[in-house]
Amino acid sequence: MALIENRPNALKSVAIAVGVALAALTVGSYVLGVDHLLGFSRMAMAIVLVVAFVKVWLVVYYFMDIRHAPRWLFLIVHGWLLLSGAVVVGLYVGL
Amino acid sequence: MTQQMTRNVPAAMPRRAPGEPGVWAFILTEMMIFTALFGLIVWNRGHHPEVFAEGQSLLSQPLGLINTVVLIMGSVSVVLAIGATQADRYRNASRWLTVAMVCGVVFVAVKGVEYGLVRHHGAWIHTNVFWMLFFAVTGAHLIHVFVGTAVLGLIRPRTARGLLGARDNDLFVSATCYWHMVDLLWLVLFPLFYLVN
Repeated sequence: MALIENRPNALKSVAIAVGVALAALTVGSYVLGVDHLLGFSRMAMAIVLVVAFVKVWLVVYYFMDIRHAPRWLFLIVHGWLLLSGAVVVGLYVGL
Repeated sequence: MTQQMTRNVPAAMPRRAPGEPGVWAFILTEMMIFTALFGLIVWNRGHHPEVFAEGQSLLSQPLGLINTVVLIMGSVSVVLAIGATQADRYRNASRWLTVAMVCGVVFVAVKGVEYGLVRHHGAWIHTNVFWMLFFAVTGAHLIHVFVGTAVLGLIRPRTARGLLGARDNDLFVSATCYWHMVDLLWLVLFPLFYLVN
């Protein structure tokens, strides 16, 4: 597991890079959702939801270090991510 | 020959779950429960669009944005704490955990202000389906923020002492994973309540 590997400097760089990416995606979603850069289109809102799950993936993959977890945990977490994303985006687009 | 060479290669380190496996059972259960809640929110939004639009107009999107950035900062602090323990800088790690706990407290304070503003407009959990979902789901998430902050507070003294106990490192990583779960749940709740209309 990378989080207990002896590479503190690499971990610090990952933490800051992923943190900046998360903040940038959050502000981007905010601008898209509040300022309606693409209008009130259903597509724009679906993009906001997809971006939310991209952010969730960044957290589980890099912060929770699922990339170095056992295969069973890797598959369960990614399965949950796909299921949740499909439920939320599917219901939003379908209803 | 190949077999001989293979025998001489040290076996790869087995992959371990980050933290205690039992904690992961708990975290995955929580994540599944929130998946059902996410679906409930989107389902009701689809069937009551006017109620959701009216409710959303009373929410403060900037406060939601601030709270999202605050939780992200908390998660970054927690990872920096892990990095500090790898460098044997346990005092430094303890300070990063304190920063993450402050982020938790700021989140709770901002949420308190937001609840106050909403209550000022006369909305409460029984007003309609939007406010029922808003108070129930963000309230449940708020409890998780309390617990996440408290768990970091419990592991912080052990971290400052150098994670000397046999299970201390696993408990430390488990606490950080719980905190990240609190963060990622909010990353979905924020657009569902504040942005998507």
